[in-house]
Amino acid sequence: MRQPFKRELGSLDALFAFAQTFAADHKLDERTTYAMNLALEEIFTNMVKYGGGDDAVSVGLDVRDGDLVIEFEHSGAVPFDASRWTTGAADRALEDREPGGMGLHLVRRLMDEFVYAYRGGAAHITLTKHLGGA
Amino acid sequence: MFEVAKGPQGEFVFKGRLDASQVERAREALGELKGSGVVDFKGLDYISSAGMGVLLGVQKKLSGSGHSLTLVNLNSHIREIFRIAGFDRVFKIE
Repeated sequence: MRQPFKRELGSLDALFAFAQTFAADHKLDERTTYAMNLALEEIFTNMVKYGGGDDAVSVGLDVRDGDLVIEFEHSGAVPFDASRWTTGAADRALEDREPGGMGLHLVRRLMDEFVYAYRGGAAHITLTKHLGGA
Repeated sequence: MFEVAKGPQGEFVFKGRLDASQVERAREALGELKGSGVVDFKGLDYISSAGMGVLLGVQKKLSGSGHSLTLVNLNSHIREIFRIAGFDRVFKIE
């Protein structure tokens, strides 16, 4: 299933409702559903805050060959390969921590694959999580 | 929907979903803390990095005066992402 979402934080409720329908249809367990919701929010809010480009982001959810696949397409976005962005945020002491960066760290740890591509004037992010495993 | 209330011991009780669109409510509530405090997550179903950033900001502010936040009753999913984020080394979690 695929749906466009207006590029604003106020779209999060609709995004979570979209994900909840998908999770119920595919009988995803709670742990996988939490990881999916978190990945959706973190990537979408990054696109809201830093993406530029069109007013909407297209979000797709699917199960293919035993994998949960989350796809984002954002036309006119500022090219930024989030999959290569690294942070040592989780290892830092309290006094050295700054806001930001934690979201992408969590997405990378909760998903099994994180692929970024920029083609046709649009940013494409594809996240994959193997189902049925830890 | 996210709600924050005060419990009988003065603890902050979080309920619902703390996502990026709700962080100001959490920031405003915790902003009144002048000393150590407790946040009860018993009714909290979900938190993202935006909400975690609010907690981190409060913890940094309190640590300057020797105080801290204690987080209690985290569900297993929130506990897992806090561990991944290294928050178990930054907060006292019970």
